[in-house]
Amino acid sequence: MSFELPEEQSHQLDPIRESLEKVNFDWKIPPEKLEALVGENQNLKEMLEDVFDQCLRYTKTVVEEQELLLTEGHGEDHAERDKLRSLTHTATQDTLRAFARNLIKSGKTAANIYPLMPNTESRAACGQFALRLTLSREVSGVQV
Amino acid sequence: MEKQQEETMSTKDKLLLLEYSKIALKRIDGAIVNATDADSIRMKKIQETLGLTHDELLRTASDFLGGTISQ
Repeated sequence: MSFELPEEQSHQLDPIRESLEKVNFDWKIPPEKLEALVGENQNLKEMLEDVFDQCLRYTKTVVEEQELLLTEGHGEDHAERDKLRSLTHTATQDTLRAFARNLIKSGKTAANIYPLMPNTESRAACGQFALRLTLSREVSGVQV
Repeated sequence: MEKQQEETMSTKDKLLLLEYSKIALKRIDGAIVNATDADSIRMKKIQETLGLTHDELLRTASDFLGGTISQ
């Protein structure tokens, strides 16, 4: 069974449709949206490059740590690797925090920043963001 | 791959996922530019083995790796 709303009532649903379209159900963090956010500001452009590099570094350490864990289990090597991952995680959070702070200084509002950036006070959110941003760069790059 | 599938992945599948991610990371790093090289062929092979597309593999990798984050 289906029914259709009269056209004049259907328009009343437009704000709801628009809100739903704004919700990002996608896992990706498009790098080009971050590039658009920084615009032509040279300082922010350089900071965004640092964000890309640091997130890539973090993702590499997580992948390597997991590989070691699956092949060799919890051992001395894993403890060392985990320490490195934790330090890289901290550095990533610092990089993201500095970037967000400079976005605000340059006049960007929270409404511009936070649909794209994580809560930089959350360590877990920064880690998740770094993984997603890095792997999104591959999705939007060369196709296999 | 949906969350449920991810949870039921074997160690072998997880290792393939990690291998795929490592190749992807090399490409992001700019180490690979030629789509016909051995790494790209290997990526195709992993896609076939796991029955997932490139995007699905990267999404699964993101979910899997994100789920392993510790403080």
